[in-house]
Amino acid sequence: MQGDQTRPTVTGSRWTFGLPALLAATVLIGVGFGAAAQLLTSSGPALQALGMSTAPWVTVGFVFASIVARRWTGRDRAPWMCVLVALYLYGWLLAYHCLYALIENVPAATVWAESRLWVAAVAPACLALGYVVVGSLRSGVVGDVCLAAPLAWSLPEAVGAAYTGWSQALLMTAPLLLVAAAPLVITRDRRWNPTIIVITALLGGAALMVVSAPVMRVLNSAG
Amino acid sequence: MKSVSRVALVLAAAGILAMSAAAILISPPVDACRGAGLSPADVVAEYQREARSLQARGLVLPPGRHWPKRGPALDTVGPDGASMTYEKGYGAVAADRYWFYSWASRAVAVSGSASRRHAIDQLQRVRETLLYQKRLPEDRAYMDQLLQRAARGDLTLLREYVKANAPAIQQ
Repeated sequence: MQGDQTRPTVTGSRWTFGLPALLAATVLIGVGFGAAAQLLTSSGPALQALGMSTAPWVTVGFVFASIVARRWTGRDRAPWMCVLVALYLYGWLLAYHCLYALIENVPAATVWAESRLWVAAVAPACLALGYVVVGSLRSGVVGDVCLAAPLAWSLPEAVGAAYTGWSQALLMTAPLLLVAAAPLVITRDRRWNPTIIVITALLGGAALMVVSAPVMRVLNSAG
Repeated sequence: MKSVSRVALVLAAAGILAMSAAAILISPPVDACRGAGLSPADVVAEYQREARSLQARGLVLPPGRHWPKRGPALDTVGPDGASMTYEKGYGAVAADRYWFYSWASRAVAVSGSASRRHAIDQLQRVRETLLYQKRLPEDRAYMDQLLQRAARGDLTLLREYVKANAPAIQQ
């Protein structure tokens, strides 16, 4: 079954996802990764920092949306990518915080107090991420800058992990950078400029290190 | 089909905006968040349980030190006038901290090398306690550094720790 120009579908070589199935799958993927993050957070010292981090889990949503965007047939690709990212993030937040409530026996009101600003942040975040996902499909400087964005937003957490000792840093930064580099790996249909990628990652990462500290303080101080 | 897709998109966007607005506007009442908190009495009970547990595991206090009968110093009323609650584990970690501080203060105070060595050996066992295990990786890295330097005979960080924590532990 081939999607026409107005009906949103995601078509692979052997399969086609309709819009409802795609939206449901997105929520389930978010729930799966949110649960994984909470289990890592509760697992003990070694992988706790990875579970508590933000960048790799956001990047997973970015990578998923990138894969979908490549195979999207139909109109309104960018707005729908925003919706997909939002559903992934809602699924992630729901699973992460509900599992936290179950594991730690915390009342729902406390969980809502802790998570509500993160839920509020989904709207602006999905808008930015959805358009960066679609931008990363373009060739040229803009496409390369969008492609390097996950590396840039992962850099602050990678640098932060460096202060925790080499074994802890390795456990944190290896998966973090692997996930952040995934968009480069899946972009096989066009060449990207390594210089632009590196400059964007470093400059963007440095800028985010300055900006993210107060933002994260606000998000983590909810309640 | 085109219009159905557009309507769905508009509805999705409205839903996302509504979620964000709700998250900003709906703040749970403070009292509702306190269900799982421990009262000061619960904290003291937890403190005493952990003290007994440490004892049972051979993590005893140094000579001349005793567990405070009333447990850790706790505020019963917060700055807003409401009764204070504490998170689960607060009392246990406070007991571990008292144990660790007791050996740390002994290590920096005693003059005999054998007594100091024994105190430093005891401090290494903090890794068996919640005080170490429940910490963030950055804090554990600091504590590892403190313990490694103490094991090498460099008590600089240990002295800083004792000086910084004395008011909180001894009140």
